[in-house]
Amino acid sequence: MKTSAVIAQNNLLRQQLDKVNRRYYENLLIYFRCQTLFRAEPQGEGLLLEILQDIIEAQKHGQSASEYFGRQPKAMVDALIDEIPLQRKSIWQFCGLVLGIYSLISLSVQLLTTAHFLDFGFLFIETGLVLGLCLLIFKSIAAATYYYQHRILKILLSYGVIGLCFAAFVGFTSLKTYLHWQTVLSWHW
Amino acid sequence: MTSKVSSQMLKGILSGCILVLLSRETLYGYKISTALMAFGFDEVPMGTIYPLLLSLEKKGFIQSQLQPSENGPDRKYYTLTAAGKAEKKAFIKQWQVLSTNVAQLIKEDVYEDLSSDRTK
Repeated sequence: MKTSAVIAQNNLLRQQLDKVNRRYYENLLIYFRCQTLFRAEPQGEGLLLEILQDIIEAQKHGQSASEYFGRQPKAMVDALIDEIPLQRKSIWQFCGLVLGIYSLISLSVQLLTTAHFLDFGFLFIETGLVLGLCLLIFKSIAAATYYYQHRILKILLSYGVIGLCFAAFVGFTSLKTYLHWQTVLSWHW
Repeated sequence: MTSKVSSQMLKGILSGCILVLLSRETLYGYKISTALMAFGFDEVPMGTIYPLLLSLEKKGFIQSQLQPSENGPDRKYYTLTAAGKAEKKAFIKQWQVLSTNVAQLIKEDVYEDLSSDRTK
């Protein structure tokens, strides 16, 4: 079965959970997915569906998700994540995606603004920065899932980190002239 | 929360128990946990068994297969492999030796505790 089909089934099946169990499972889902960006996705999604099916069955037998799966889900999920193999391919795919999107945007901006030359050094540095910020965002969302019980605090923390990343990104872009000069210099050297 | 040592110990024991259960019949996650609960492991959060199942599968002791379920999508059923059968035998043997030794060792302690309780 395709991973996208498994995810679709998960979305459908999740509606069978009651309010409390749904919140429990969705926290688990968010935490798991944010922490397994570079791990085997088919295996991870298969596991998420398997756990969902079992929680639904427990619910049918009058057992809540936390009674069934455990009152400290973070520890359980961390142990689970350790068993899912790392996938180098997905790391390269992620880097490629960020580099691709970023190059496309900066190239089109340069073309539109009658840019002077291509700055590959800067492109790679900024891709690295975007990559780091993306990872930071995912890690913060994962941390917020189990760190705060209150929903609003979770949202505030997640958006706060996203905002900070954006600010860092914009701030870094203003360094362009200096780095431009540096790259050109090394180019002619 | 249980200490690290006892949680490690529990993991090993639970893995062995899962092998024993699966040698009797093919089961899926929820059924494994209810079987474990029926045997008295009702204090164990069942989130514990999923990493164990993954690890047992990785080691080749069990294998999983999707089978149609009455309602909803296919379910993952686990069966014991030939290597798993051998591992189960090894676990039982190891457990018997361990439990005899430990029972022997703590017998005196238990007796002392009981008698000190009585004198209180």
